[in-house]
Amino acid sequence: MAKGVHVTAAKDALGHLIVRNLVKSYQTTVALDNVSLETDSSEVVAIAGGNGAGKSTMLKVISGTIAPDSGFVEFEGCRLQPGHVSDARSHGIAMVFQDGALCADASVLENLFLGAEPVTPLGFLRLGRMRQLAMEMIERYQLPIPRLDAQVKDLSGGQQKAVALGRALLYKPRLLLLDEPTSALGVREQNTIITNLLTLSEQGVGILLCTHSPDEILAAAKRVVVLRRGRLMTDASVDGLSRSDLAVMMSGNA
Amino acid sequence: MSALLRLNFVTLPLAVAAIYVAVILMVLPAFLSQGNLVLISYYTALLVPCVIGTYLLILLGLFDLSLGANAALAAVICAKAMSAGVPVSISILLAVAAGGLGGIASWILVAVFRIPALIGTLITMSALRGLALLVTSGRVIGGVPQSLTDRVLGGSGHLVNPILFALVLLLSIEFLSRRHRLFRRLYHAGSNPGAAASNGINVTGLKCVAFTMAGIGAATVGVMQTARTQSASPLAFPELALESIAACIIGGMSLSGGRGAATGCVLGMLILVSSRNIVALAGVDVYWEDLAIALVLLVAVLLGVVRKWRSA
Repeated sequence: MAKGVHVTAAKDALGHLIVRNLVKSYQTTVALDNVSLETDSSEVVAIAGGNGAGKSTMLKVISGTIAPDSGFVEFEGCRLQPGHVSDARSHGIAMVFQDGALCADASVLENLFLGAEPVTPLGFLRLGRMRQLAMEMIERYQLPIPRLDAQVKDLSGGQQKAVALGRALLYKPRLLLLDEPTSALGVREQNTIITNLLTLSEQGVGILLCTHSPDEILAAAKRVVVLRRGRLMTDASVDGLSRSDLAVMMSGNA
Repeated sequence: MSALLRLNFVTLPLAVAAIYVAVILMVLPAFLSQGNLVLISYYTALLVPCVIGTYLLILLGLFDLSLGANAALAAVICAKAMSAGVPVSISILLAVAAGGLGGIASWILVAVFRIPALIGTLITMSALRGLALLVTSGRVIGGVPQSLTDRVLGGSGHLVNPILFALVLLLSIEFLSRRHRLFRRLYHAGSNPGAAASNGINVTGLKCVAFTMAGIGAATVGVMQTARTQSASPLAFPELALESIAACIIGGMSLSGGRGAATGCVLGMLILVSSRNIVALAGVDVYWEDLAIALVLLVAVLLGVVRKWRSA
């Protein structure tokens, strides 16, 4: 696969995501049915829909966690290798998984760098460098992450979400994909995460946010895309929409 | 009901353990004699490579029942090669390479074809044992030249090669498991395979490394045994795989993976070897050995359960 084919001038394309004709099916179900989408930098786009609508699958395809059956993802004018996490990361796309994708038995520091540890040529961890990068990141985004040496299983739910978010931010992404970032959190912790997202958006990071909460869409997003049974049903501005409008759009009971 | 069950689970082993301790105290002077301690260390050292291999597999929530058969095949290959006039180092290399291949065979069944480890490695176990029997026609190969023994088991004083090798291996693994990316990833993939894969870690590749290293470890045990007895039996090491697993469990590892340390596993094997040794020193029937091992395992598992209660 040709890596880095520029189809648009780089400057115009910064943070620009093109998702074209994605199809992905599992044994008996179609998770994505010919979905296309374009987003720009510093846009917060909510991807809404009920359970099994295909939201998570869409983010996983964009982040390279899974490969689509057909269709492609293009970021900043470069076609991404399908099903290749590190390729997506190197192009500036990072994902926060719904369950955090954390190793409970490992330290916060190791979880932050999971799969992308800075190492010496012989493969030994550069712990000092890891620590320094982690501290800088936590300082910069004011994340509620306690000691780097704490084990993840000893953290609260909100702290664990912060570690998962912090891992994505370490890559200094220009596009951040979040799968239900506030699920199973208390109201205060939810607000902290939303505030973090809005700050990131102001700094020019594009955000795709999977959610089924109308409140979260209203609080964070400017634009909402609704998926239902793998199909893109609606693509609308959030302006002027009410809680109940969103609920109706997501359930499809007009 | 549960209180009664708990009582039985604790009191019964305690009573047996009390008898066990009494026996240990009786034989303590003999057990603690310098000669005996060296002997125990020596026998443990001979098994350490296989224990380390099993530790790497258990980190990933895996195990390999074929390690004993693997060691026997490696022993046979080494003995046959030596008898045929192949130079010492090449014979050892052949045996160790065969061990690695045996591990890869287990990996293909378990990680590529996704057969559960219990079944997959049972298949390799039968296959490797069968191969060992085939190439020897079921007979013990004797008359292995002294040069192998000198090379493998040489050394000065009590710090003979196997003990030195075991210590260096253990220290290296302890260091690597803290600082090296590959070893840290074994812990991560064992702790949460899904998370590791989502973050771009090649879990199947890690399993290949662990199975191969375990095979090489088992083969090393086979070669050292051949050097020690100057013979090789295709039926040797019937319990090596299970004892290595037992050693890791005694050493505090969790079969679900992601936790534990190599030193614990080696200490676990030291405890197993000591238990057999104590039974022998007590002068009772040798058949008590397995009961002693059962007790040690039971106590280890119960301690693990208590630890879990406390942390919960």
